[in-house]
Parts: sequence; structure tokens; C-alpha cells
Amino acid sequence: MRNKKKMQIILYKYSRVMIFVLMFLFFTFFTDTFFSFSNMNNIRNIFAQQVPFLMLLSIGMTLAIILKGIDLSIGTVLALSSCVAAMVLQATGNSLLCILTGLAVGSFFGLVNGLLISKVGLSPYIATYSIQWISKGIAYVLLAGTQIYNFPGNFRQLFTGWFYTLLLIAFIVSLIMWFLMSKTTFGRNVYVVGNNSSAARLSGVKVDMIYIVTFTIIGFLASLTGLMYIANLGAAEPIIGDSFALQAIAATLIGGTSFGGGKGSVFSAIIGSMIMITLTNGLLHMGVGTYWQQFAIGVVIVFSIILERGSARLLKD
Amino acid sequence: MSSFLKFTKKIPGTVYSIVLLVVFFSLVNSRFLNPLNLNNILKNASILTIVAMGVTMVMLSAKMDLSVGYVMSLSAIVASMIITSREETTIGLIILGCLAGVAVGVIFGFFNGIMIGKYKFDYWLITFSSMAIAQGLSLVVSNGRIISGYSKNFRALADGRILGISSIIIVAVFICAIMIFISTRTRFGYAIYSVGDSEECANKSGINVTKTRIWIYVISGLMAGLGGILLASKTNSASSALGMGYEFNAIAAVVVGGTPSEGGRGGLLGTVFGSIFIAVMKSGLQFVGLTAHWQTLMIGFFIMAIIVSDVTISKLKLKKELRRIYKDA
Amino acid sequence: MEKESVKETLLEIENIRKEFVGVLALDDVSLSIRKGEVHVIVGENGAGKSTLCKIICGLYPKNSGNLCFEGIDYNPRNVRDAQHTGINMIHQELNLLKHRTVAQNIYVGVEPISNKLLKTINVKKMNSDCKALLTSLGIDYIEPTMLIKNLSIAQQQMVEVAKALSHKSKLLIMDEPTSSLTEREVENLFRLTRKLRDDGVSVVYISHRMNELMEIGDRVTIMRDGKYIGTYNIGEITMDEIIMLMVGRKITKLYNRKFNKPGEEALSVRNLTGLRFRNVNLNVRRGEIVGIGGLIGAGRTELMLSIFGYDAIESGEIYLFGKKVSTKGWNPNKAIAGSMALLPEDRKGLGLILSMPIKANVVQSSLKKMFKSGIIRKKDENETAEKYVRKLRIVTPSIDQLVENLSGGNQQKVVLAKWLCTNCDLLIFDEPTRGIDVGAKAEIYELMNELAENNCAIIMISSEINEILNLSDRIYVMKDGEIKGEIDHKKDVITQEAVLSLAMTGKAAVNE
Repeated sequence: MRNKKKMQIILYKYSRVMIFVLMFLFFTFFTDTFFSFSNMNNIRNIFAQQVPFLMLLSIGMTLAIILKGIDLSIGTVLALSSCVAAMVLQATGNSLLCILTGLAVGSFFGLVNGLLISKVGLSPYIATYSIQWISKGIAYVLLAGTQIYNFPGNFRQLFTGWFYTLLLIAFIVSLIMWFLMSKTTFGRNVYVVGNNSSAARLSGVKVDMIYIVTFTIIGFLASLTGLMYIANLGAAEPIIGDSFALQAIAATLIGGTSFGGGKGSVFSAIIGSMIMITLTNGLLHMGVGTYWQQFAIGVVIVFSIILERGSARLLKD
Repeated sequence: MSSFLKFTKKIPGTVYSIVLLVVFFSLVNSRFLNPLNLNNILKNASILTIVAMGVTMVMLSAKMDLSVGYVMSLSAIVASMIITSREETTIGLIILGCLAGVAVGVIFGFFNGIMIGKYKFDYWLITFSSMAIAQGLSLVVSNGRIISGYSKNFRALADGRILGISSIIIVAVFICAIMIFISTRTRFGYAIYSVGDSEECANKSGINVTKTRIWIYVISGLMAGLGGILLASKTNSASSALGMGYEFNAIAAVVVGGTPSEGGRGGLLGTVFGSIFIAVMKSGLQFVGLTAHWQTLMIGFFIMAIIVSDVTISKLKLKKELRRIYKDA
Repeated sequence: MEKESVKETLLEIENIRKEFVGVLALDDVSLSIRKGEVHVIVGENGAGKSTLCKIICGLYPKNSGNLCFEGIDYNPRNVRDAQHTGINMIHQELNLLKHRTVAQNIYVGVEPISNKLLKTINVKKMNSDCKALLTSLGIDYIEPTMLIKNLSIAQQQMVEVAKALSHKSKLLIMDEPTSSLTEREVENLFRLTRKLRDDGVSVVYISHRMNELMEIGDRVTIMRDGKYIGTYNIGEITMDEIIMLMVGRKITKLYNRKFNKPGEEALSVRNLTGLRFRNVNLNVRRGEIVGIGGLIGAGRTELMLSIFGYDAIESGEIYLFGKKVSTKGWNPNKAIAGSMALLPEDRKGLGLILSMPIKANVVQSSLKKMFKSGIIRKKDENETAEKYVRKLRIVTPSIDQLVENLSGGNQQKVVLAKWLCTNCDLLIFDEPTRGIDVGAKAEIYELMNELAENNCAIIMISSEINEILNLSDRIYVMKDGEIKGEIDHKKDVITQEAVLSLAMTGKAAVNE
């Protein structure tokens, strides 16, 4: 009886990896184009040009969800910072300046989110939802309905010079974030605040500071992703970030981060984003139209919180 | 005279702000006051009010509903596809379409209600994912197209005139009256306030909290469904982007109307004025000469300012209440 | 005897057992309530009185056992069921809708309706019924249309009473209804209670105030640590015997306080004013345990949270170990740096990170001190946690155990370990033994004693009268956010009457 229970717990622990493997196998067998050893193109594309973006955004979203919050503005902040960066690039032709501005814009909006949540006391949903509309609005006003392409200088070269540069960046950032979250006092305090912010404050944690710094990091990650994205795409426009927030939430939750706050890890963000990309890409190869994607993402979110509820019961007794 | 004073006391503060806004915008641009524009403002406010009625109930019960915007789109699309399915549009087909559209709203409301009321999932996440699902389904069902070309009969739902007043305004007044009556005069209405004020107390007093919550979300979905159909009738088109942002505007209308997000106080009448306020604001920004992009941005800033001040004010009030109890205890 | 045989049994409670996650709240409790009696249940905090009553009125399901009401099996699934059967309860915590009127609160869920189909509410009838009810209770200075948030705590409590009385009851349960009432209202309540009893209603009355029980009760049931101890007729048992039964025989061993010679001043507070307290002056020296007495809602917890920097301070001065601290921007972080510690009343909400392991909780407040580089060294963390688990005798399989799986006593020890780890010199204990079993209680007292001996200063808020009487060097008594008096164990004999008199009326007892 106890052994059975232990098995169940182990099964649950690796359930996310199993979901990924099963899904991968499923699409491999049931489509011709998803994956075969003779044709690795699709898989290479997935890992080099799709996974890195979602991976970084999911790590950001994981931070927000560990803090019992969320960041709905992650997609539009990504769009805005990349648009601003592209404008700077077009005006000056200076790649470094462009990257710095982009990162600064993203971090700034993250900072504003953090301030609204900690100092003003808004619910993370309302705060980031408002920022979503505002950042989107600013991006539209700045570009006035146009698109920026034909980037001058070596900007694109920096990110896409080697086929796996994007993946490498994502990997390095993941390593840094993993270290930050699991080895440092800052990371510990983030988990503590997410579990119980009042108790954290009473134990001497500067709760407001934790919120502000964490959301700034999220904004930074969003803008970094944005820069990588436009470099890969070769164009910038306000519309690019629209569905990213939803995808990142789905990836984070299906990866096993608990919505109740205080639990979650960089690893679950990574596996979650791989599951999501496999799912959306696989569905595409199955011949399911792109319009179903949004629907599938919503269902995945609901599915993951039900799965989590069930597992909480399992782990409890 | 004293009865007049009493009456003025009953007018919500929002009314004065609306008057001020109208005066301001008409000074900036005299065309703002022409009857056609005023009628248009009221028509916009009508749809917003209907949707915001449901959102108010949800917020009175201290929860939130983010799904209303895309539920509007989906119900409008479903209704339109049925209505435009035959060459000749009969009244029966219109009724069938409307019923189907409303049913879509009710189904989404029921889903939200069950997940939040019965299984106690986080209301933000649930309504956010049903928003995503509704958006996805609206893309799937419409295949990304814009549906248009309704028959006159369907368009009359919003655009017709009865005694010189747009029919949509009459519909909105009718629905608001029913909803206000329910919320202020019936046991269910009382239960909404009780559940929002203190769920624990409501439970201890024998109110069926789960059932109340499910009904509240069903009503919210129903209102979104109705709003979507009317919006399609008014704009003569339906697409997945139709209701986009309506949840944001509805929340703003509710907050401006005096129902704070912590629940338990405020009311539906305030929301009516809140919706008019938002509609005046939007139309005014057009008349000031802003481009569409600037308008979105300004509205975003504006709504955030409202929400920030709402939270700050309720914090101060809470502090005041704490102090008061101790003074005469 | 003859008189009692007339009174038949209304509610028979048989072998009730109730377990909360890991804690046995009720252990095989049986007793019977007769028709038309005032049945007092006494016991210390955590004895299981409230849990028993909540089972009777349908708020908690029981794990096993039977309830039999008027000879019929009675199994309430919710409050509605209990109300239909004729059982109502006045709760200990205030449970009202802040933004609704008095009448709306009293009739919540059962408003008089004028149309059965639409369930429209007859507001006029509701308000006039309410007025009549309030008048009959002698509290007609409360209007039916007043908002609850505008009433004082005592008035709110009376509304709570009126709400329970508005239902036709066969059995009325009152859970410490007088905890924040003034004398006049208490008298009113007792008058009403007697009237109800004479009308044949049974009243179950929970209290831990001895004099009340003698005044109002017909029979008394004593409970201890979730167990039924015995039922006696009032008049056949003395107050001392009841207290003996309530606390058990360990009474002399439980509090083993050795008084030390007080050292230098650790904390001095001058004219401190905040949201729920004003003009507070108090001081604590090293080696002392200073008790803060008073009723629930007197502002004691709020005062301590403000001194610790968790809540805002409006004016006044704080001196910590002789140094004046700036009250502007005062926060827990700075308080901890000033070697203060606070063990909150709300242990689960404020004291602990429940879903994190013991080791994380133990080092939580010392992270900055222990790991200056900002990088956590697992080895140090484990060693520190092991050390305190041994030192405080925390019962747990390992330091990786989640705190939520520990018993109340062990949880409190984890909180204490967290603060000892910071090397604090001034500890504030807020209701240190609430919800803790007797064995762990003795250990906590022993630890407090030890700390005082080791030159720490201790402030202790407590509502348990024996605890505060036996442990404190000095006692400050608070009422309505003000300190009403100070009692020193050397100058005066600290008695229950002295403390209660200050707590309830704000005046010193006459026969002191």
C-alpha cells in the first residue's frame, strides 16, 4: 500500500517529463513532418527558434507566479521594448545602444508593475492588465501603424550569427536564474514572500523590495526576449507580443508551478515551455488550424490547475 | 424644497462628473453637443451598461470576471452565423440566433461559476482562461473572418427607433431596471451583498454561498451574451475582436460607479452612470482630435488612474474605520 | 432531585470525536443538555468547547459519535439544518456584514418576503420587526437602519445576540458572548437568558469567567484538552473545585517561575499612539517577564505589532536598550536589527511559512547575518536547524519536515527557534500557549523562564488568567487601547480580581 503511494508520488514528480515525452512520441508517430531521423529540420527549428523565447518568458512568469502574482503585461512590454529598440537602431544604427534602450524600457515597465503592486497595493492582475493596455497603447502611438524592418548594422548578426545563439542565450539566462532562485538569499526570500507575505514581513524580509526587484527582472527578461525575437524576425511591430502572456502562463502552469504561490522552479518553466511548443507545433503538423491554438492554450491552463489540485490531494495524505 | 434637497443627495457624484465632462468637451468642440453624437454616446453606453451589470454583480460578490469581453465576441459570432445562414432571414431564425448567442454566454458563466463557486479555484485564473478559450473558439468558429450583412430585422434590434429613441437604449433601460430590482429588492440580491461582504458570515448565516456564486457568474455570462448580440446588431458586424477590451471598460465603469473591488458595497445604479461616464469620455477624446491609437492609450491611463485612486481611497477609509471603532468602544 | 427529573433531555451528545489535521480536538465527548436549563461549559483555551458547539450547530462535521435531538437522530449538514431544527449560535468572533444595516444583518438569509415567487423583500416589515426585537432586548438606541461599521464593538456584539434571538430557538448556544460587553449590556443579556430559560429554551453558555458561570448557570460541564471531565449542579461544586478540574492537577508544576533581579532597561515606550491604542507608556527590563492583560479587542496585539514596526505608529517615542529609535520608517527589519523578536498570536498567518521545511523557517530571520555573501550554504543551514531542534526538543522526523505537519506546540517552538537564531534580547510573546497541549505548555513556560534567567527581557500578552498571574513580574492591563494600570508582584499581590477589574472597567478593584 505504502509502496503504491510512493510510486504515485514518483510518477507525479516526473509526470511533466512524461507528458513531454509522450506528446513528442505521439506527434512523431501520427505525423510525417513533425520528427524523423532523416528530417531533423522541424525539431531543429523548434529548439533554435521557438523554444528560447517561450522559455525566457516562462521563467519570468514563473517568478511572478511564485510571488502569488502574475504578469499579464509580459507580451506587450516585450513588443514595446523591441519597438523602441528598433526605432533607436533605425535612428542611430548603433546595436549596443539599441540593446541597452530595449532592456531599459522593459526593466522600467517591470519596475512600474512592481511599484503598483507593492507600494500602491493593486492586485497583480489589475496592475499588469492596466500596464498591458498602456504599453500596447504607447507602442501603437510610437509606430503609428507602421512596421520597422531592414535593421542597419550588425544587430541581427549578433543574435542569429550562429544557428543556436538564441538557444545558448536562453540556456545561460536559465542557469543564472536557477542559481538566483535556488542558491541565494534573494531567491529564498522570493519563495517566502510568495508563501506568506505577512509572515515574511514580520521576519524582517523587505517585502516591497522583493516585489519591485522581481518584477523588474521579469520586465528585463521580457525585453531581452523581445530583442531576440525581432532580431530573428527581422522586423518590429506592436502586434508581435499579443499572445505571449497567455502562452507563458500556460507553459508555467503545465510545467508544474503552483498557482497558489510559493512553489515552482526554473526547471518547471523550461519543461513547461517545451511541452507548449511541442503541442502547438505538433497540432500544426496534424493539420489543426492555427485558430485552434488559442483555444488549446486556454484548455491547457484549466487542465494544469485541475491536475495540480489532484496532486495536492495526493501529496497531502 | 426639502424633498428636492433630499433628492439631490441621492444623486451619485458620478452624475456631476458627467455633466462637467460634457460641458468641457462641448466647449472644446461645439459639435460634441449635437443630438446625433449624444444619441451615439447613449447607444455605446447602453451596451457597456448591460455588460457592466453582470460585472457589477460579480464585483459586489468580491470576485472578478475577465471573460466578458471575448464571451461577447463569441456569442455575437455564434448568433450571426445562425442568422446569416440562410438567404432569407426569418424572425424565427433571428430568435434562434439570439438564443444560441445567449446560451453561449450562460455556458461560459456556468463554467466560471462552477469552477470558482464550487471548486474554489482562483477566480482570476479561471476567468482569464475562459477568456482565452472564448477568444480561441471565436477565431475557430468564425474562421478568423468578419461576419456581416445582416437583415434589417436584426439590425433593428439596436438601430431601430421607438418614439424617436434608439431601441437599444430602451432595451438597456429595461434590462437595467430588472437587474437593479433583483439586486436591491430580492433575497438573491441581498445574498450577493452578503457573500461579498463576508463569505464566512454568509455561510454561518445559512446562505448557500456556492449556489449564489454560480448564479452570479451565470448572470454575468448572460449579460455578456446579450451585450455581444446587441453590439453585433449595432456595428453590423461580428468578429473575434468585437468585444476585445470590454472587460476592461466594464471594470472601469463599475469602479467609477462606486462599487470597489473588495465587494459588499456599491450598487448597479452607480454602474449605469459609470458606463455613461466612460462613453462620454471615449467620445470626447475623439472630438478633441486624438487619433485612435492615442485614444486607446489615454483610456488606458485614465482607467488605471481610476483604479489606483479607488484602491488608495479604500485603504484610507479602512484606516479611518479602524480608528473609529477604538474611539467609542 | 425531584425538580430535575421533570426536566427531560433535549440534546444527547454521545462519544463525539473530532480531528483536525493532526490535532485531536474532541476525544470521545458525551453529555446531555436538558430542556430549559442554562448549561455552562467551562475549560481553558483549546479544551474543545467551541469545536463541540460548532459541531452542534452544523459548522463542522464530526468524525464519529452521535447527536440525538428530542429523541431523534440529528445530523446537521450545514447551518440551515441546525436552524430548522431550532438550534442557533452566537459566535465568539464577530461575524457581521460591515457594510449592511443592522436589520439586514439580523435577518440575513431569512428576510421577510412579500412575494413568494420572486422572493421580494418586505423592507418595511423587516425594519419594524427589527425595531421591535431591539426594543425587547433593551438596546433600542441601535436603529435598524444603522450600518454595522458605524457601531462600536460592544454594540456589534449585541447585534450578534439579537440575530441569534430573532430565530425561534429550542437550543441557543452562546460562545463567550460577554467578551467585549459593558456591564450594563451583560446584565441585559443575563436577564434575557433567564427569561429564555423560563420559556423553556435551553441555553448552552461557554465562558471562562468564573463569576459569570455562578451567576447564570444551572449546571456546569468541565472540559479539558478535548476530553469531557464531568457535569455538576451549580451549588454543589465550589469555584476552586471547578478551577482544579479545568486545569488538572499539574497546576503547581506548570508555572515554575523564579523571579530574577531586573537588569538594565530593555524597552521603554513613551506616549505611543497608533490606530488602536493611545498614550501608551511602559517599560521592560532585562530579566523580567512583563505581562499585558486585558480583554480581546483591547488593542494589545496592535500595540505590540506597532512596537515591532509591523503596523504604523502615529506619535510617541520608543527607546530600545537606552537608545531612542526613529518611529518614522520603523519596520520589523530594523526592530530585528535592534535585537527584538515577536512571536505573534496568529502563529500560522504571521509566524511561520507553513509549507516550507523547518530548516528554512529556523534560519529565515537570520539569512542576512548568516550568509553575508547572499549565497545560502546548505551545510550551515542544516547545522543551525539541527542545533535548535535539539535545543528546544522539537519533535519531528527530520529538519526537512514541512512546518504545517507539526503540532501546535512544536510549531511554536519553531517560531521561537527562528528568533533565538537571531540572538535577540527582547522577546514579545503574544498568547504564547494558545492552542497548545498541556505538555508543550510547560515546556514553553520553562523556556521563557530560562530566557529571563539568561538576561533577556520578555513581554507576554495573555488572555489566560493563570498564565499571566503566575509568570509575570509585572502586569500592565489594557482597556480600549489605553493602559489602565500596572500591578507589580512585589508591591501588590497579583490577583485575578485586580486584573479583571482593570480589564473590564478600567478601575482598580475596590477591595484591593
